[in-house]
Amino acid sequence: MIDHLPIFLIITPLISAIFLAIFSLFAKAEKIQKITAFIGLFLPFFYLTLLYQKLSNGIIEYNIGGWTKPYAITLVIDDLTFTFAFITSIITFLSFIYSIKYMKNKDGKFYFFFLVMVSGLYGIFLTGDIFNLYVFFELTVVSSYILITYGDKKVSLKASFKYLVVGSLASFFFLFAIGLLYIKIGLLNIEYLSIHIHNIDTQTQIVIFSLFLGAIGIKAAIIPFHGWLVSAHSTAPSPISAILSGITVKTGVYIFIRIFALGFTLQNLNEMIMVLGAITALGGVIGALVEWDIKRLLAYHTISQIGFIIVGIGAFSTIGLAGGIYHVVNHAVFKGLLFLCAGAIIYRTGTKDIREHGIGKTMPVTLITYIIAALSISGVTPFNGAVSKSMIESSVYSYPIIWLILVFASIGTVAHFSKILYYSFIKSHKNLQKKKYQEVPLSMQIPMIILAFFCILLGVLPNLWLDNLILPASSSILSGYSVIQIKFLDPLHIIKEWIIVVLGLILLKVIIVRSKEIDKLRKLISKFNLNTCIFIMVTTLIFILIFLKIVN
Amino acid sequence: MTSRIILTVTRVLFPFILLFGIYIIIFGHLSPGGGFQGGVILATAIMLVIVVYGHRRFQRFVPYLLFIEIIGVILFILIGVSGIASGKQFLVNLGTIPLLNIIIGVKVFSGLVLMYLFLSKWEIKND
Amino acid sequence: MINGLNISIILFLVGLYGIITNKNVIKIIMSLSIMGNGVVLFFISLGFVKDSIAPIILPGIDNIVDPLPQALMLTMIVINLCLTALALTIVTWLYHEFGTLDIGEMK
Repeated sequence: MIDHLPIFLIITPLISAIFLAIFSLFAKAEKIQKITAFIGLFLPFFYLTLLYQKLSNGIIEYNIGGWTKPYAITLVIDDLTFTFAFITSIITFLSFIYSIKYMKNKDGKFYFFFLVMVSGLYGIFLTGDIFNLYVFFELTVVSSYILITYGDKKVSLKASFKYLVVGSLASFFFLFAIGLLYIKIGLLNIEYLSIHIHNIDTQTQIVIFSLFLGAIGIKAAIIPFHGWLVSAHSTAPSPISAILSGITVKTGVYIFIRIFALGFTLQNLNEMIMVLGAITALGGVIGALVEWDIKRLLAYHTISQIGFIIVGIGAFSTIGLAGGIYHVVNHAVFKGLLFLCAGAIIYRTGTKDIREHGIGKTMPVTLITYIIAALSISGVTPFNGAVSKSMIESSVYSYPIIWLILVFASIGTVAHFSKILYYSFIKSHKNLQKKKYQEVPLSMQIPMIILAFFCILLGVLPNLWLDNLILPASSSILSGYSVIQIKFLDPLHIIKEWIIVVLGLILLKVIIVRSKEIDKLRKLISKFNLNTCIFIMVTTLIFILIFLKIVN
Repeated sequence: MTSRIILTVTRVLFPFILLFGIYIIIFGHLSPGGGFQGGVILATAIMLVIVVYGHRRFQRFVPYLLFIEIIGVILFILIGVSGIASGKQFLVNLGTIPLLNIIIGVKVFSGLVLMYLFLSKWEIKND
Repeated sequence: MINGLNISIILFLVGLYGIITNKNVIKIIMSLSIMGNGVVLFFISLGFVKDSIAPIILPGIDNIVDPLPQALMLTMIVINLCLTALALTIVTWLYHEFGTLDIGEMK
């Protein structure tokens, strides 16, 4: 039975979804439905611990249907897959526990789509066949279109429709690239493709890579392709936002690592990707300047952090790639925690505008976990964001302009998160005298406390996580194993971090004083509807194609 | 307001379209066709009757169609897992491909008819 | 000059133009459907081999077109059907909430 674990990892959430559907035909079955969903989300932990022992012997492969290796659909588990599957199991399980009390509708259909989405996520990370990747992608993304509509009705329907159209466009670009790869090489297995891709002539490689970059850019929300993310992640219910920002956007990053590791023989790829990542990191922070809605702020910062990850991966050195993968893990943890905190505040106060919160000291658990998460995302030392951000920044020392843009993005991040801290928690609002807010229920506090604990654990013991989880992942992409030791409490980095924090607080003061001019900027940004977004995406894709043709 | 011609022709054509759909499902592993294609043709036959005769009298079949869908998925996964139980990998070919075709055909048919029945509840009467 | 690959690229571009310029939501879904059919035609015409017949294996026949893209396209047509059905459901719900089918007026 141990041999068949890869396929059981994908099927177990699906089987528990089917049992949930059976129980929904009877009446009054909510408790059994929740227990079924709990079992379906808890068993992958168990499988992953069994797989970790087996993984130390080598890469695990599993052919579906009994066919032989290049012709079958293979499920491949190597260390990169294990890292992503591990973070998926943690975030989805904790988000499920949070959603038991948060979701007010009492039917089981929400958990059905939740389980199907989780099954699709495991399928994306485990598969080794490029068309199977497309199929599992569609499974995940269709479930997330449905799950987004469980938010507030009017805005979430518009956001879901916009996401649907843009996501289908990304799938079509992906399929075109798969078709071109198939006709030149002949098989669809990812390992086989990476061996034979240098046989293709350069012109076709340019078209294939541009189409892949278009699809990945839409799914991972790099700046010209980001139009769908802010409205989709901010109008979804909070546990779904945590999974969407934490895991589903990272599937784009995972595909990007796999495609980049296929080994396209083109010039100047690293520089172009790092420039795109730097623009994304800065653009997310600029777009958040005008927002006063807490979930839209968090969604803009997701775009910014993805920019950091893309810069780290685009550098494609050992420290850059390890920093990028470590930042994926860290971002899933602290962004999930931030969305759960925002959900807790919205659950008690009922509004999303941070100028109307003013909770003060009446919700202590939310306050402490929010402060831990905000310090993590700003990159202050004992928490996990500091380690991965400093790894990414030290991989771009040889490109000073990109390093400077990343520093500006960090300053903006500090400014915005202190803005949320000031308005939502410190400044008392007049509602506070009218009714007393209590803390959220216990089943919503436990995931937040566990995620905050992970934030601290990932930051204080970086070498433990690097040796066992991150460096094997990056060395399965770059051949050659190298050892990195992080010096904890390095004084130069601490000085740099606190300079960034101080500059960020100065920027916050500027924002509060000059809020009227910034509101005029908001009218400029909010004119982007669906047609303009797609036009910008297609135009950027054509520019990337022309740039690559000129350079090669 | 459907005319006499359409009601009569539908009643005559309905069994032939059903038979054609079943033929495409069953012969799917030897000639063009298969589970999905035959299922769509079966669904077209039933949807023709629903469009012509009004959807209200067919709303009572919705729980049965849901039940058929769930049974279909359970059977599919059981066949897959029986590949594991017999010592080889998941979904290995034990001569079960025609059975898989029939299960998929039934499932697609019930899924499409359910979609039509649910969407037609939102219909706006413009007279 | 007129082969499957060129026509499929023209279909895809027509669908893309439809998404960029249309304001009616139903027309956007129809353009998505046209784009999907363009991708299907692209894949099927990838497997074309000159002077060969349909891939039904009988004894004595060995010049067949490539059957793998056709199998992949079956999966893709099913996925496009599900996406179209979901999009139409969301559009129906949008019409009942807002009362209009124009995407510019739904703000």
